[in-house]
Amino acid sequence: MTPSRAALLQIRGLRVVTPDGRRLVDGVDLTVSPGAAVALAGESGSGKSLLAQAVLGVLPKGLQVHADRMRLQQGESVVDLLQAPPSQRRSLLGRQLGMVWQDPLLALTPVLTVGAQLEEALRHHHDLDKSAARAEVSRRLEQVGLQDPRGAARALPHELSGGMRQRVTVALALAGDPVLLVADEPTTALDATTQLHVLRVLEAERDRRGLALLLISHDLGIAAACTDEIHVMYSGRVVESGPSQEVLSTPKHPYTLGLVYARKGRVGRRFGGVAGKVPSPSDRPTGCAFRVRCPFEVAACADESPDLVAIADGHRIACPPVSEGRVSPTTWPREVSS
Amino acid sequence: MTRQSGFWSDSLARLRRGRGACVGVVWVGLLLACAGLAPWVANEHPLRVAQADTTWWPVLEAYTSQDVGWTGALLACLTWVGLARLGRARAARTAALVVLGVTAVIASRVDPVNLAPNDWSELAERGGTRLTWAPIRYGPQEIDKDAMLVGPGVSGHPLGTDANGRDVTARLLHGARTSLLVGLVAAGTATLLGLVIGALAGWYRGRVDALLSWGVQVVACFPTIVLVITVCAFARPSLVLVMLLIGLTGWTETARLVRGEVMRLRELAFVESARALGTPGIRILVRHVLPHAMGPVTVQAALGVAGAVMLESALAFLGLGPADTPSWGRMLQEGRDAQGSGGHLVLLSGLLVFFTICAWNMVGEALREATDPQGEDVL
Repeated sequence: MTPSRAALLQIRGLRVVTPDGRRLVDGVDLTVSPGAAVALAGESGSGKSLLAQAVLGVLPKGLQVHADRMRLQQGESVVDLLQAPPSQRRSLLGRQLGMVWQDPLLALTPVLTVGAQLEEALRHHHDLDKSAARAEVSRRLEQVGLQDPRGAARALPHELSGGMRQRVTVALALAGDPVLLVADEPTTALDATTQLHVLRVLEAERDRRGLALLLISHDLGIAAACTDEIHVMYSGRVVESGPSQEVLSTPKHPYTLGLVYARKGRVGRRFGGVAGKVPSPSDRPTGCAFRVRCPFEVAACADESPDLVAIADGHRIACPPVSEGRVSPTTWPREVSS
Repeated sequence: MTRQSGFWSDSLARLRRGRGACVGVVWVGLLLACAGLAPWVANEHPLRVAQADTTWWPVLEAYTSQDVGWTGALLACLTWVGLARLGRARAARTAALVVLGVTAVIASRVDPVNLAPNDWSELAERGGTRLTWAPIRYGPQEIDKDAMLVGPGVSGHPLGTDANGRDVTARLLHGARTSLLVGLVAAGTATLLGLVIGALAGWYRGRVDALLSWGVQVVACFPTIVLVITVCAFARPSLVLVMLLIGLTGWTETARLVRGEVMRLRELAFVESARALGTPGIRILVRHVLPHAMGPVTVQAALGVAGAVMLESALAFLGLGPADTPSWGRMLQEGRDAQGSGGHLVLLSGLLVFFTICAWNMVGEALREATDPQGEDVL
């Protein structure tokens, strides 16, 4: 498979490794084209947030990044994210790469008004004087759908509602006009109606500026609803990837199937869902990491860690029993759920 | 969407309810009033001279830049408190700053006239002239040869005189200036130093932290009073030197405090978020992290003022302060030297030092309670 030349972000074989050698992210390939929307889905502990932090270069201290290739298109040139010195990595933040965090209340500095924070970001990225920056603050806040941008600019983060706060963090992340926005669970801390509003804001920004979006979510429905392509991660690896709607409607990998059924809610008298939890990277089972929770496990699953195999155009799964046609799961068995 | 509450406004509201803070703040306010009004209460020159054709104010003619500074500071405080009480917080701050600015300009240009004391008796004998005197007709440096080391109650000297025949009331009033100045400047220097060093150590960690923390320990281990005595013994004692020495040795507690706070805060999500926005590290430290540490730092600063007042008095008592500046500690020493007949000096200056230290400590304690988010919510 040859990656398209126009790819904005191109990652091959990304691993995030702890000092004692545990692989938190274990060989992930990811390509984001300009203006594309790509989702990373999976449970907590699957490594999706670490992947995003590795792309931005803001991983917690001590974690190491290894990859065969990790490149970002910057205008006409290509930045090798593995080779770039820290100062160059930092200069990408805000201007090329924007980040929206899960909890906007934690992501905003409590003691500064949101206007002051946005003004600081704008003045840092653009050459604006004070009055121009003030006007730009109002304009940007209006752009993300705040009704009273002047009033909101004077408010402290805790004085705004959750939805308004997340709009503010979106405005902050977009202050430097990045080409790729990484949104780490942007709607998880919000209630259902405001989730939709924030996603609409992200969509509007995509339409307006051709922004590429890397959306991280544990909610397959949300992930699929506003992206073209989805990668489902489990225990540091991608287990299924493909066009979002296709993956959501006809999940092939048992894990994705479990997630889809978990979303649908009750199976019979019990709640749906995948029993157990993601294994810690230090005691991953041999072979397929999911096999201990998988109702469709066969003997060969313990042998080797499966690679992604194409089963349809652009749709790939890492599950040999399924891709080789030995099993064909279509529903999640109810006796496994608990 | 107006500002309903914030850390500082909440704290201030809680501070107003606390009795300790009220007592402390009132005492400090009284000291500031003494400092600002000293020339109007104790002056060897008349306040006002009314002649047939002209009226003039000798007290103002003789105003030194120090007098201007203290009166200006008092006016600025009154402006601030007055406007803030009317609910105009922003205007109050601006107005107070304007008053301070004007004060600084006037203080730098003031040219006091040397008025000879003998003129007044001549003027008074002349007909058609009315002199208005201050309640106490002696300045802090003026010597009354007819009344040396007299106790309180002697006519003209309500609180008596010292061994040189100088009026005790006048000297106590001017001593308030020394106490306030040394306390505030020394504690301010210490706080600033502690803030910078603690912030750098907590932010950069690693080797920077190791080096700075080592410095903190070295300075903290040093017996401050011995160091100050040694330096004062070699250098010519001056108020600036005393303030500087106290400031340069008193920053360690603040530094430790800030270091710990910054280390805790730098791990919080909003710091990571600011980093991901491309905000430069030092700006994150100054704008996003340090404001959170200011509560405990303010408390520490208030307690630091108490410490500095104490140390200044101790130094003056040991005779290491500047000789020409009225200071409570020095008066205490002069009272002791006068043995039996200096009781009023010892008592008055000692009580003032005691109450002042208590007042600053009360302000500090009240601030601690008011800024403690876990504290009982008085509101």
